[in-house]
Amino acid sequence: MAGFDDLPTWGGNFADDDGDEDEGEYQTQTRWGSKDGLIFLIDCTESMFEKSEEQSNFELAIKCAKNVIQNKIISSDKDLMGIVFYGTEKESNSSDFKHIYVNFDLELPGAPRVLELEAFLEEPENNDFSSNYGHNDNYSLSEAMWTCQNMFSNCSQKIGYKRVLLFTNNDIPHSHNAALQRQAIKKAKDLAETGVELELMHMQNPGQTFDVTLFYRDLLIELDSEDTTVLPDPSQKFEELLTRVRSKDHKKRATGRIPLTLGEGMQLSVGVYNLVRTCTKPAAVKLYKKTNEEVKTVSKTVLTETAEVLMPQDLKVSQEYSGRKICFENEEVREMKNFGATGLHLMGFKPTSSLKRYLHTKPAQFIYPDESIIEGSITAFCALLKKCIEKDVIGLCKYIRSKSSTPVFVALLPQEEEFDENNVQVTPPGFHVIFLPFADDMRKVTHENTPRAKTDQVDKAKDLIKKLTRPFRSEDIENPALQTHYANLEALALDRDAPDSVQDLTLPDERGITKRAGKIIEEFKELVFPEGYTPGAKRKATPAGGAAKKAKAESQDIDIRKEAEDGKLGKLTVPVLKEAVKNLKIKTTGTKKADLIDAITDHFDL
Amino acid sequence: MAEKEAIAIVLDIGPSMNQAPPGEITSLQSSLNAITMILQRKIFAEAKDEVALVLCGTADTQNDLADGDSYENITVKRTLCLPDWPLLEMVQKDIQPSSVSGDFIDATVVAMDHLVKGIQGKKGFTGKRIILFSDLGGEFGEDGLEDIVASMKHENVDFNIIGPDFDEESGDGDAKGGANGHKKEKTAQQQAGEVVVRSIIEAVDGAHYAFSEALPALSFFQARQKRSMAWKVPLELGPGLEIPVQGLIKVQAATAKSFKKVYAKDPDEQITTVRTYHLNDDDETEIEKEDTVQGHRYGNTLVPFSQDDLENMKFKATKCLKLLCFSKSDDIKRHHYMGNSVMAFSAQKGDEAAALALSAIIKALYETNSVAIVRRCYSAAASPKIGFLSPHIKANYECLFYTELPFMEDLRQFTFGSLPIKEDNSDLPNKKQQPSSDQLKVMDDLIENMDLSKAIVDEDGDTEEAFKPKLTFNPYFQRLYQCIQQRGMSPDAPLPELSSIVEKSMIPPENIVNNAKPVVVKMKTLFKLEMVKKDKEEKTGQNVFKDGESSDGPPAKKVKVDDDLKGGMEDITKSKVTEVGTVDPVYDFKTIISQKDEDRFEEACKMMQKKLIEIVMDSFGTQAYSKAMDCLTVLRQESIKNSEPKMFNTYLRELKETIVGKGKKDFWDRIVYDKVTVIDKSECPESDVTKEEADRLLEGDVVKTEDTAPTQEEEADDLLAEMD
Repeated sequence: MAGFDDLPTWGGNFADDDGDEDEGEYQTQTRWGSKDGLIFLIDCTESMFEKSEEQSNFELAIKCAKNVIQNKIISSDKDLMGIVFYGTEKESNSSDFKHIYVNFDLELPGAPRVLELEAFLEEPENNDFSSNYGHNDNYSLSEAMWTCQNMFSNCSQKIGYKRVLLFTNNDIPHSHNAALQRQAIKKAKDLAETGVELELMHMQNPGQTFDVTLFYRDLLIELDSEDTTVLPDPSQKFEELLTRVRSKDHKKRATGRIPLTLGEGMQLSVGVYNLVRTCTKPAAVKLYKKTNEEVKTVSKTVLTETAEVLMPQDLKVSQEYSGRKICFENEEVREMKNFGATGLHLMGFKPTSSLKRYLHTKPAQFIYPDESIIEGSITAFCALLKKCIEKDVIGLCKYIRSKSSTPVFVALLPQEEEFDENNVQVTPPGFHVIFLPFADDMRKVTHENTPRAKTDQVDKAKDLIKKLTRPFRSEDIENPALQTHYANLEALALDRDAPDSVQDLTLPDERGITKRAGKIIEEFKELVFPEGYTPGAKRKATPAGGAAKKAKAESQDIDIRKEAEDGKLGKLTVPVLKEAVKNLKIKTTGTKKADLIDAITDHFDL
Repeated sequence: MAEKEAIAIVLDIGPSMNQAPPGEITSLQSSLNAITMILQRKIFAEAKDEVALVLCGTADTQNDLADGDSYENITVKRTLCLPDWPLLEMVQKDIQPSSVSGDFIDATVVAMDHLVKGIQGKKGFTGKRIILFSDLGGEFGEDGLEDIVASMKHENVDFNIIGPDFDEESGDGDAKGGANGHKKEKTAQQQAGEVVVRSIIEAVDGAHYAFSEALPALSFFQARQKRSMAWKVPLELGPGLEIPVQGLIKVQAATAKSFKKVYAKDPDEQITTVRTYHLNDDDETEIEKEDTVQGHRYGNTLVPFSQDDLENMKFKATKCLKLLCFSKSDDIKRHHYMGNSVMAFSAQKGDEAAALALSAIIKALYETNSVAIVRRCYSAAASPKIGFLSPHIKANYECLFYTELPFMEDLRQFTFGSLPIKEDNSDLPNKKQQPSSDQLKVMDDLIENMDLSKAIVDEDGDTEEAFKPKLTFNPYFQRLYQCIQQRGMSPDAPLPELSSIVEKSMIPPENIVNNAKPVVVKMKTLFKLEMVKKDKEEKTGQNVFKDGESSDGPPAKKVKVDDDLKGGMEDITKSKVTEVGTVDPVYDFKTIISQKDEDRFEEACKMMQKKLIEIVMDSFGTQAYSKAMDCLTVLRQESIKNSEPKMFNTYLRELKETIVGKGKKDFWDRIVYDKVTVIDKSECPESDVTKEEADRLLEGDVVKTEDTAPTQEEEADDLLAEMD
């Protein structure tokens, strides 16, 4: 490890990254300064309001904004959002630019904003847009961008990441005014220099084209963003546009910037990202019943007997083993977990086929080269990536995520860049970091010797598979429990009578399955099941209330000690076991069945 | 049921075990180290396995089989029971090499006899094992060897030996060293012993490990204490087609036992965590828990949820495992695997029809390279998940592996720039960073030279994959056990060094390191990798303080606000700041006092002082302390600049009282550590405090000079541990 011990600057640089080092929930943005600011800059000239298939481009843009705001409210509730119209007759902005209307200033979105946006989608004619705002083509795109810039700098809150999404269907604004065009390009550059990113969300009406070479390519080229990739095709459909907006609406925030060591003294640096992470319901907050204001929770550790408040320095931590309490200082626990420098350390390479399906302990991470700490990282990373793809190998690394993480082994799985049919990047180029289990994590599963299927049975199963095979994309399936929570929350927040009903996309389409494969299912059953076979003891879920009551009655009839001695505890139900534990007045480490059984066996000293 | 094993450890303490070339450890010591590790695992993973210890080569004799003539010099040192501290202590301290040689075959017989007798009347043992530690240097008798093997088989005893490296049968004798890795000629006695042990191993399908392989060998002594409960459910493949299956966890990250907080002065004293609820007003009015209600944020709107709301809105589901569709394996991306475990599904016990049906599905999936996408709901109380079942076929069993997949909400669409790894990169802005053919060539060499798939060469010349997960142990667990053991035996000793065996398990095999060395040297010349020099942006109070101290030095450039104030746009459009807020108090404070039109210094200081206390009190652990320190140092600096020391000095003294009284002594420690004290005469003539007096304020509060501020995540860890 001598290789990086002589580089004392690592620690400082790596420790100071902007990402959160926890398991990476969407909503954790607790760290100071990590707020994002997002402005929707929407073209409101008349052509944006032309209807095609029920919907104008303006409505598309508003729907997108609404969707993103609703999403933001849920996923990252500290982010600021604003909406600016340009090409309006009326004006409203701090610099009194003509034809620019700041509809929402940059602020935390909430329920009222969502309702206001909904109004734009209503008849008559988008909340009477033409009389309330009007249309006018004599705007200056430069001034529109300037307005956005002002909004960011006037904002009293510190914004980490600033982004403007420009919605337009006009591929050549200011077509007769080269000066205005030049100004716009210059302003775009200005934005980039002050750390504001501009993204073009170009749209087109049917029969229309959007030629980026006419004007926007020149404008975007000035931005020279590190995310440069192929420009997507213009969108006509809401879903396409939304996909593009979604891919831009989060700051891609590295959870860490760490060294990747290929050998002694051969180090490059990479950013670590979470491309997938379980999204859970946001934590509840405590409110004061009378005023609905937020309540602060303070927890203190006290001596039970004297109620004396204990400070961290009064505490140690301990574990108990066969009667001995073993105590450590907190610092010692930290030291025990210290296994050297943070980062990925290459151990060697293995064929990709060695990465078996069952080698999985937690969701993967992703690494991408980072030039900000070690220059030349991109080149070295590319060479590694290209060769790993070519030779179909994975890199095996020891991975220490942060100062307080213990080492794990990971596979670096090479990933080529992938695009969808509209040229939107779906998978970025880099390495996936696949976490491998240790021997400690792998359990022995014993299998019985069971009969194997014969060819005709397998063939029938193949028919079944063939009938019911369809492409699968995780993007298509929403989490029904989470969506129900949000729908309920939204209904309460927006004071709606009933929440929008949530479609549970995890439920199978039983009618469709019967229609397509009903006959094969019957044939398959005939081939594999003996006559009169009814699948095992089907268990109907007992209603929660009844189980405990039943358990009480049952457990009285059962001699727990005898069951335990005969090793039959596993046959009892959890409520019965719980009741037994209660009756025996023994402590358990958990409420899982295994814990309960352990506790009972321990109790009888078996 | 938990699998529990009866294990007899047979340790040879005869004279040859105590020999080693200078500077190397003896076979006896290697054995004791390995036995210690086995016992640590058993005790600290709280396994139910029982262990006996049989010594071979003791001066006296103490075993059931001895009759004054045979089975001499063998002692059952410890009868079969749960391993505990005294056993560990005995292994660590009491076992001495002997000058008598014992018969290790006899000792094995004694151990077997003891095991068989030892488990009589005890319930639940599922296995018996003998682990022999010997260099096979002692004399032994071969009489009755066949009987011994036969009864081992009959009693179903697993037999392992940890001893010297066995010679390669090919006769390529110089490939590997002897015991402990050092080259040592084997004695004729050892060679004879090896032949016998080999025959036993072959006959009973036992295993042999060299002393140097002790850690991977642990996999065989691994406690199977994790009991997997079968999750039983009908697999619904469509209306009317149900196959009763059961799932068992195959892979899931094991966690160490969690630490509990105890009172340092008396660990046996009871402690409790008390939670109180406060309003966010000036007095932090405490309120009853009953007066609170659960709420959720909807943007900036706070939405209360009543108990009824919660009840009505609960997502309802029923336990199930249902097919949605089949899909091609290629549709399932490796990096989309979610959840923290993999389950193995097979037909429910005893249901042959189900087994047959499942077998047909497994084979068909395998042959069509497909997977089944399923909805899985663990119980009525759990929310449904999406996952996939993939076929796994082995010679002696078939099953389906279940792994969770992400929902739309779990995916984050980040766009990253294209990388110059294509054939033609001319349209990319980073095309200059495209690797050259030389660079690609050397990377190719690296991959070739660091091939782990054949990295381990065994005594038969067979190669094996290195870092097989099945044989790679979590180094933290071993380290934790090592520390607990040492602390348990000598409570006052500092933590031990990381054991070399564990350290070795985290580096590539030696041959790989050697192969790669020249390639890495070449790489370093071909790739230009340079550390970007950056101004260290350390914002500790001390730094800022020091900057302020040297009156003619640059102004506190470390405080970010100064940078922000430069630059045209921001200046012009800077909105008027009237209050010191929590978001960026330093900026607000500086802005207010820099307003030329009116003197608001005193007012700004007051606001800053109040804000600082708020930040400290609201801080989650030490999380906001750096920010508070920034406030304090800026406040101090500006007080000096404005020749207004008194207000600051009074404040600092009060601050100590306030925060220490409110349970935030650790912030005061931080102040002491950063040496931020009152302003003295030498810094500001208006002050009436001498340097000595100033220093004294911090005295008596001397804290350790090392970094006392734990990082945020560790604090969070502690908090989580507390919640358990």
